[in-house]
Amino acid sequence: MTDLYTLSIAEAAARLRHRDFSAEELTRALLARAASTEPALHSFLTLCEAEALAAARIADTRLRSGTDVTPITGIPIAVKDVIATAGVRTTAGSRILGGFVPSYDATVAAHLKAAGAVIVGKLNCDEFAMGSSNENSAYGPARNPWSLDRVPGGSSGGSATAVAGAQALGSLGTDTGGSIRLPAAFCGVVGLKPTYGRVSRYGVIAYASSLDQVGPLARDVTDTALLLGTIAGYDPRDSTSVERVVPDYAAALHAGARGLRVGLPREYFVAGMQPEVERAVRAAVRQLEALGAEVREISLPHTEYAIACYYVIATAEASSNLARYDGIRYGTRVGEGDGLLAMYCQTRAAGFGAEVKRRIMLGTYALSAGYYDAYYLKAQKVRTLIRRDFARAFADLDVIVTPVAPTTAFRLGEKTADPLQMYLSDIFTISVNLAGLPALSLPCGFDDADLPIGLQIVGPPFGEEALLRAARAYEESTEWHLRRPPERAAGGVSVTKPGDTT
Amino acid sequence: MWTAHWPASPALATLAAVKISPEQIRHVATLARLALTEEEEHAMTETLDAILTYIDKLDEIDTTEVEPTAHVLDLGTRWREDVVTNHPDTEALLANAPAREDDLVRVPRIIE
Repeated sequence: MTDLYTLSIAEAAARLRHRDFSAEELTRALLARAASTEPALHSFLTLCEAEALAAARIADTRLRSGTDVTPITGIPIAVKDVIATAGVRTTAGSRILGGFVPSYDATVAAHLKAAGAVIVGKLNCDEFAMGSSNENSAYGPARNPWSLDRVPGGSSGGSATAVAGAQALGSLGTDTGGSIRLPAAFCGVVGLKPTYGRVSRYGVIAYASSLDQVGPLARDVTDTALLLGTIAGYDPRDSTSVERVVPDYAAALHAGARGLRVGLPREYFVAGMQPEVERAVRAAVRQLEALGAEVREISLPHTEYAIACYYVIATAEASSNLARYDGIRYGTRVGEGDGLLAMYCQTRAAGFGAEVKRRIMLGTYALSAGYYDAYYLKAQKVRTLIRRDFARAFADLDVIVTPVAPTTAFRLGEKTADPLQMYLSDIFTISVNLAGLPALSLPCGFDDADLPIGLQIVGPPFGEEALLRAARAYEESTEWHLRRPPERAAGGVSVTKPGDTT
Repeated sequence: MWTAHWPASPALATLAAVKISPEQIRHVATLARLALTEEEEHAMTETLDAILTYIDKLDEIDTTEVEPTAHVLDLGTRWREDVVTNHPDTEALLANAPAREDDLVRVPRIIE
């Protein structure tokens, strides 16, 4: 029998329904796989074996009786550790929440559970989802299954490594500036950041509230559509979620690329890009054309201002959101004997890592008296211009296609000394968040070092179906998504530590 | 390795104009309720200076006639009934408190 952990969600679901194996057997296979690969990958901050097995048994009851069976009933899924899970430790990759156990489920976790999915664990991420490499996790980074001395991308690093390393059949991440799409690209899996408001943020630990969005990562486009269909929808507990019918995303998969109007923004093909990335993305565009898509060059003139704009708006929102970590009702408390103000300051100094402090400082500065107009208001106005660029382009386009990142996965430690260089990793993903659009990353090739390359497909607001349609048409005609990381790396048999290789 | 082609990130060491002083850093740290060590203060001054210099590129654009975007959705204010709800599990809530006494969260004295 095939190793069960290698199955896609759609394959596993079909075989669960045929009773080829039970949800408990499938879950045990994934838990065993996770245990053997964790020393190498470090995808998980918490594995919940007991809860997972209990959920699997309930799923088996549903599968046996044939009632309430959804496309993900009995499927082992893992979720990023910024997503609250009742009774299971949720740290956001931070020391300050090291012992935090939520008393309720985030709406997305509740949706997974209601559909009968088996949550196997909580995934590693940059602290409070702030980072592009997973190296800002207070618990050490996850490693890229394709090459263990490479970063998995961030901030949802564990969400990508768990799927690429076959430790879970799918996962949830969050994306504020590229945090689903970049790790998906670096680890050779599919990742989708939905339209802002499509998926509830209730119970998701906030980083930048006007940008954050939860989305799925999976091995292929079909699985991604199944997960999106499970978590999307209006939630009265999130005042920014949108009351809009959730379409049948799986039905959108088979429309093909014929007649699809595709835009190729010239600002996303820039000097200094890794040549293999540009080659792979251009080849993917030709492939879409061969499948019947109409491709034309477009311009998104304000692209070059997106990073500057983002690092004002996101940090301003973060500085406000993270004010709640004060050592009073939950989380770490330090310096109690020195008075209230000292306790706040020491608690936060001890609880937050360097990047989180940096962003809180930057955001506090941008919002402070005398600087608000120059930074925050200015950035909000530039955000309008970035949105308009996209609105204009989408007037007669279905999707926009770009690279996900200018390079493939870089080495652990390569960019940690220079925050700005790290920020620039998100140069092709960040505008999408500022404009609130949906975007998907999928594998479109490999570089000379056998590292995956990602193709980004961007849609208009609530254009998820167009993304899935384009992505599935491309995927169906290529084999990139079938390649798997070397077992030696993912299997933990021969672990290469950072620094061991040159 | 890829480096930005758009006005490159200024190398930290070569910055001449100073955007933010150590005094401002200390002030902002107080506003943000962050105790910084001297070393952190120094590093923070240098990095924030570089980042703020990069952010200055926003000034290249004339935005006088542009409305700000606070939010991408045109949702308006959402209203709901002002109904008190209680979490059923007091113990689960209190278990996260860094210090407690009986069913209360214990906090430092704030009034002398």
